[in-house]
Amino acid sequence: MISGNQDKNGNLVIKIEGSLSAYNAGDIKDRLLTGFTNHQGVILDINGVTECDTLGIQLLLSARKTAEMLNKTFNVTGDSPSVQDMLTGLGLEAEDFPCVLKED
Amino acid sequence: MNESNRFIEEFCHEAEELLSGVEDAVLDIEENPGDQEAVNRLFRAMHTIKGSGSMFGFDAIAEFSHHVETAMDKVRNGTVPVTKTLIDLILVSRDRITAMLAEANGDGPPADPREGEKIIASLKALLSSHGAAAPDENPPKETPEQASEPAKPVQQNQAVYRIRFSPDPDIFFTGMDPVILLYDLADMGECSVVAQTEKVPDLENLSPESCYLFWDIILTTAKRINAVKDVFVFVEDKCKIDIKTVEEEVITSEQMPGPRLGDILVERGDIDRKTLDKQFGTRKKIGERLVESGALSKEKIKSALNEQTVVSKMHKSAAASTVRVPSDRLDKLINLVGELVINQARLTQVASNREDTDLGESVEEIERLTGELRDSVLNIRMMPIGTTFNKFRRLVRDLSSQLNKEIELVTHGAETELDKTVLERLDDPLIHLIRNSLDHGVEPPGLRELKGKPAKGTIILSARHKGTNVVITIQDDGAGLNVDTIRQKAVEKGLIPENAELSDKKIFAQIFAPGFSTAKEVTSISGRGVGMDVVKRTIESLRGRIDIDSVPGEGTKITLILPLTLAIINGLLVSIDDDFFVLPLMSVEECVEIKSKEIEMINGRNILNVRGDMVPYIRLRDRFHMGNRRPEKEHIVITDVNDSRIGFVVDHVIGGHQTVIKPLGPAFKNIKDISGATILGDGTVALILDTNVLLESA
Repeated sequence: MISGNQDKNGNLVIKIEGSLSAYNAGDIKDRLLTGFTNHQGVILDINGVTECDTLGIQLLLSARKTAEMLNKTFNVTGDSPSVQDMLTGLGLEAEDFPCVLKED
Repeated sequence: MNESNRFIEEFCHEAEELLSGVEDAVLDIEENPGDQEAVNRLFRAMHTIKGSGSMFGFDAIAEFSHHVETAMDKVRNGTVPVTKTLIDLILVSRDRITAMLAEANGDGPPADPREGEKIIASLKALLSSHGAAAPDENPPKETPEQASEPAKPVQQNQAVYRIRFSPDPDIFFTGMDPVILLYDLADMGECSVVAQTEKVPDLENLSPESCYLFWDIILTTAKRINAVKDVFVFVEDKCKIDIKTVEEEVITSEQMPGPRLGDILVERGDIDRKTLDKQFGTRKKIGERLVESGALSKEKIKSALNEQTVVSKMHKSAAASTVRVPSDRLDKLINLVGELVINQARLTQVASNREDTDLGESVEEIERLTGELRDSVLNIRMMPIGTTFNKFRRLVRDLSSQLNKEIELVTHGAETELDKTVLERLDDPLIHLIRNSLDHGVEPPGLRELKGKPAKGTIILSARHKGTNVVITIQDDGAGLNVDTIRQKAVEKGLIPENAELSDKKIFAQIFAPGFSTAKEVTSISGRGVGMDVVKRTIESLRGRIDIDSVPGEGTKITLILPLTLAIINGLLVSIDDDFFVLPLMSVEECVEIKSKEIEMINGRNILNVRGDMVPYIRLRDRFHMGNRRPEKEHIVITDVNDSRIGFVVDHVIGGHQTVIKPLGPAFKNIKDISGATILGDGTVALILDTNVLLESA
């Protein structure tokens, strides 16, 4: 399940529940793109993510790259053990996503 | 010992280690002729023996190993195929070098030079039959620099692999997530994974189902490169997989603390030497400079840094793990720690009698520290049983071809650790038991097929920890023990009465009687009946137990249960009058309280009824002539010794006691039923009873 709201800084807050994986990577990608086009930036809330795979992580990497290119905000907030496990498993470090480990 | 002697001894030690590695490698090659890694190991070992041999003046050894080395070189190049003849020759050569070493060391008969010439001649014949030139007549003398090749670090079987794994972009359509492969690699050893994200595009260009990531992995593992390749076996067609062994020279080079980052990057092909050199004008760290100048991505550097750390670490641990200590120094240390433990127990007791919290606290701390000290000192003596297991591979191979049987030796739990003294004394009994399995147990292939078993027999040798004991089993899938034959033989020898009703287990136990053999004919391998009794005695002298299980037609399983160490015993402390005794807790089953009157009633037969079971007992008070002041209530400790239940009557059972064993000294060497002594906290001596001997004398 994906839902979105705008926060006070003009960022789109996208909340992902359940899966961040091959099953919905396409949907999330579209959401992220809309966010970057129509808003100041995107805040991705992964608190509810219970399932994550390599494609999910790759999507986050791509979003980060996009934000850098467009000079927009991209933050990941929330704490999801499955995302964290996947990051470790893939040899990425939490420092690659500074917000993953912190509660907002 | 003078200097040169020390070097010679050092050389002999090293050569022995190398030779046992040679044996392993040869057997590996025999199992898997394509094992290039094993061929290389073999070649290197021979090369080092040759080199250090000539450095220390063992020219004969150097010359001999030169010929073997040449042969291995041909195998390495693929000129000479791996055949049984070759394997046999290499094994014979290995034994020959061992004999030469023993001679050089002064503890072996002079090796017959003719034998060596014969081996060399056969080697040459083998080589020339494959069109390979025979080795040079005169091996080039190695200069000491060449010869003192890096003494291979102890964990020479550990290799560092550098893997770059770039999955097929469409890998997800096959239902495979690359992370699974990364997990598999992580299971193989120490694994550091760095994801390379540079190819991941921005969202606009991202196809959400394609894989853009690729990985740099540094894997430190004891597994062979083929095992590493196997991880990728299902994806290797479409994915780019690059596996390289990180050069050994890099690991063993002595001058440098580790390879330099720049060199690693050039070697990986991430950067060319020119770009690298350009950066050398500035003073910053090379990695930072390269990232700043945009020559390389952060991940690339991170991955190379990772490799640097792993390799440096390996280098360090290689240096740290090769401390060789004479075992008498270790024994002294253990003795001292034993004394310390005893004195600490005394101190604890003294402190508990005074009500002084400060004293109590520090004494408690000392107690904890002594315990840790004792455990870690005992740990130093622990050695994996694997080295012993490896020796048996050769034994099984040679014997089975001698007997025309096909037998495979499977080992489990090679990493199980045992006290060095126990391990050393286990060699002979284990050899004996394995020989028995080979000779009497496993049937010839023809007979096996008739019985519907695979022609190839299996002997499983396994070791595992169980509490404070180690359990070693030798299991074969052979004919099993024949209860009737053993029974008949035992009756003939007068070991059991003709009409005795005995369980199968009791009958099996008869094979431990001296001079017992049921083999119809005596072979060179076994059947003389000298042995099983020795095996049993050795195991018992190690405070161990031996059990036999056998199913006719399905095989025999022999179980050895041994204490982890001989220096400490887990005992049950008991007392008679004011004297203390320790019974090995391993054999204790239960303790029962009995009234003096109850014993009186059945006295004369020395048998006690324990919940319907008739248990014979020994009154230790009588056994040790300790007078007749029996208390109202006595205790009986029921033990299981060689599958018989036997009780020992004592005054009081005090409780479990982990004690450091002290030998009794030469004056008491004829006292068999006491195996040692220990000193209790208050300074009293407690004697450790040998239940096996007590049972026999009952």
